[in-house]
Amino acid sequence: MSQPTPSLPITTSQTIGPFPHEGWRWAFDAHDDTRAVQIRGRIVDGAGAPVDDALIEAWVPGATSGTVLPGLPGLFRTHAVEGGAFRLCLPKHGVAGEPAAYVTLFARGLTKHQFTAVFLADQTDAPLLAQVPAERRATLVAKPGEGGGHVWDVVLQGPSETVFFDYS
Amino acid sequence: MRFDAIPQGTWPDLIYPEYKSTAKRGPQQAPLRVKAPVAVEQPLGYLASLLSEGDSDLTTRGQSAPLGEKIVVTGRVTDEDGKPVRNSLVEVWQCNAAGRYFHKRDQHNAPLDPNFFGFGKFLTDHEGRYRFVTIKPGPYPWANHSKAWRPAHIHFSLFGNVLAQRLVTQMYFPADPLFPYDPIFNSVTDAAARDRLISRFSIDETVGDEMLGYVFDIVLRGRDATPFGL
Repeated sequence: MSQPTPSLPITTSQTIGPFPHEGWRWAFDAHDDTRAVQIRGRIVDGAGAPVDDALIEAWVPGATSGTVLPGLPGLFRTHAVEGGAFRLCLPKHGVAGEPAAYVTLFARGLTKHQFTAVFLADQTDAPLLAQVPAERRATLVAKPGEGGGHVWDVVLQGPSETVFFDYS
Repeated sequence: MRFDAIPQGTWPDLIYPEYKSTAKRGPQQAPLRVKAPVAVEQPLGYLASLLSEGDSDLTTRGQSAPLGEKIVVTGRVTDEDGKPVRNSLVEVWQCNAAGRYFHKRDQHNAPLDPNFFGFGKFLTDHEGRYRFVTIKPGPYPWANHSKAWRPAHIHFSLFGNVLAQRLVTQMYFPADPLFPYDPIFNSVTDAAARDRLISRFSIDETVGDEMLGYVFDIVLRGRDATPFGL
């Protein structure tokens, strides 16, 4: 394909750093056990150490209203705590072929935010997942959790590195 | 919208050895280029309930004026075609004039300012413009290496109009002597891309005897946008 007109060069990224919490707090989502999709997990680095200062945004496709986050329908923002643990309490959407949520990760030491997604076991026929090499797909699929809910761990680096996207 | 591949060196290196905490946190695999129509086409909706009084003037949140140099920061948010990114959410956060964040984990031995918390948010207007009033942040040390001091900066979080435009970055001030020594700034290996993170002083935006003006224009990814949000 041709490139008819030159584009403006983009503004690059810089790490979120360790201190975003006060500025981002207005949009932190309260954990809500009544929502249909309960995902819990840990975010770890390449040495298996917890990333306890990560910020996590989950965007549920198709949501236009009715979520509790003030101002941004479908967006659920949370932060990791001790042990790198996090929880996402999401509504169940009815959009066929889509993940449970599109996820964006931010952390100190992560120079650029990372896009990924989390699928539930009954969403694995999604076109987005089909674009991921088969041997890495499991990094994007939440497993059934003991005592209910789903478990999805995020690995920033290494042999079991979570798949990160560049949207085209 | 269309999201072309970004030239090498424009994004910061995910593993940049001089910035030590990238060593184990930076992904090693190249990001997978995927088609995800929802991420590049579905408009993010913003509700008016998102903004509160005083969100765009960080100097009005205390009992009296904060210490430091009051400034105004303004700019235009566009996409790669130069089209305005309208009605989109921008968040900012920063340390105070002494270089201390209002954050329980900040251990820097500099005073907190009881009248300055250092965060705000606002929407871009129909031209993609934003404007907020704050205090010029100070430089501060961090533990990365001996005499590691961050150049003064304001953190920006931008949502754009679709998910794929999401960006978190930092705005710097002109001619900061700390630039050559800062591995976060230099994790962007393309010099022109680094320079685009530096705001410019503007006598036009300067407000009388009240505050100096700085301009920071931002280009988010994406081309061939259809008009969103009316």
